[in-house]
Amino acid sequence: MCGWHLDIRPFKIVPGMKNLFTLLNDAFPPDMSLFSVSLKAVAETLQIAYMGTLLGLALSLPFGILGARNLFSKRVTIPVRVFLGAIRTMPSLLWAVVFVIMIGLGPFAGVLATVMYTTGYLGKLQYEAIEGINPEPLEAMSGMGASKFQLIRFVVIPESANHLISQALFMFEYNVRASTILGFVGAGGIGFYISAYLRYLEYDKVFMLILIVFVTVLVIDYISLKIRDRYLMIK
Amino acid sequence: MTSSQTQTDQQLSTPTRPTLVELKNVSVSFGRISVLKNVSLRVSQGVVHGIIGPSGTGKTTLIKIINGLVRPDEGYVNVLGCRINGQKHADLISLRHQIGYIPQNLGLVKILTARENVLMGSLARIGSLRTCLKIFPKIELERSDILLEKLGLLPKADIRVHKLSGGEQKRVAIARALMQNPKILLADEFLSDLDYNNAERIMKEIIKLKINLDLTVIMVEHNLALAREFCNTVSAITPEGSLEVSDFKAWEPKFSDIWTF
Repeated sequence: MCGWHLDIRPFKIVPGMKNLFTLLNDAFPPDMSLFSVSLKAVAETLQIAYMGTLLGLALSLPFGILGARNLFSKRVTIPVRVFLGAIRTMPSLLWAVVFVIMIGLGPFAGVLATVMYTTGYLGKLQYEAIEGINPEPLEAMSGMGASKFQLIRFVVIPESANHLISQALFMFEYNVRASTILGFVGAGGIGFYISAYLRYLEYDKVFMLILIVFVTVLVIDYISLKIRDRYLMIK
Repeated sequence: MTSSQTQTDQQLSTPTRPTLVELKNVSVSFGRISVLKNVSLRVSQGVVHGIIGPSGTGKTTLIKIINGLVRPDEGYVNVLGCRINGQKHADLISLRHQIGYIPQNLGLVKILTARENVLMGSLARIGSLRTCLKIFPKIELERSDILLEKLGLLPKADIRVHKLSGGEQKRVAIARALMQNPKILLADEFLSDLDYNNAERIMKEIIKLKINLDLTVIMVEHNLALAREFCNTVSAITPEGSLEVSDFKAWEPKFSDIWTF
């Protein structure tokens, strides 16, 4: 039923291969003259992802804490969860459209779009991580008369720190990938160049840009893997 | 038992010592499940009071009632002259500052060091903003070191708690509770996973500190031998209610017959 509805017809792939070969023929070899431009553009994309993740993390932490049912009553957690759910509904590309309309073209719109999505997504991951912490230290500290603030500072944050850092790293990796297409709607980064060269059918330049993105994502994944191994194992 | 200890026990059981904890006909249910039924308890200042009873009779709930973590459905609860029923949350917090609490699984923050865990006991005396940056007054740091030294943990003060042995973790929990400078120490079956010799050693340390600090200890204990050796007074909790055990030795065979430990 779905296959019929979605027009899934495998035999269409065979004649389509001809178009793929034409595309690859145009794309090879990648245009190396674009190397320095690609590096600058990918650096901007990385900065958008970094700033977006950092600010999003800072915003999501209080929302994550307020959304945890083992710390606050439903009167607090439900509105916070609804808010986080609402901002998570829109992907960062749509947020980028909103901010480009609001503040104009450029990487600032990309940063704001990344902040919004990161806040919604990390906020949810964080309240789930906080709800999963061992309840015993919370109860012990409550039994000793610790204030809510002290509980958060000395139990919740240390007990969930590994999860929070791991999630922030994951979110940065995700944001690097997501930020590459924010330029399609004018929100800065390498996506702007990819979209422009695609429009002029200059596939060798597009391929060069995609290669740079590919290598960057691999390097970021490797670095974050190393950070996880180095700092997130309890020693 | 030595003659001086017998004398101390007699002094402790005299009615002239003020009552610190008093519960009358307390009942608690969670939903339709009745957890505690008609429990009464009276604990005088300076004693080690044991709470014994079969599993599932609400001993842990009873401990939580005493420090206000659980509110009773019925009955009268008075702790340190403060009637718990109907108290505001802020009043309960200030009451809890005077009660050291060692839960069954200790409730230590595993990622923090032994010293940092002990310093948690001083939070009630320090402002939130200073503690936010982990800045503890020198006097509190000295006090935590004294307690760690008394419990033989000073060489391991800067080791994360999850790296310490079970017995050492229990000592950290004791030090954290004593760091509060409490009038009452509540201990909930925290020796249950230790062999008798280790449990006895920790109890002796508690008794020594209790005498120095004029502490009242209320402990839930599964091990009848430990209760017999270290408790001045004992209450037995049964599904039907509570029972003050005046002659523990006479009752002990009955407990052993009835309960599966």
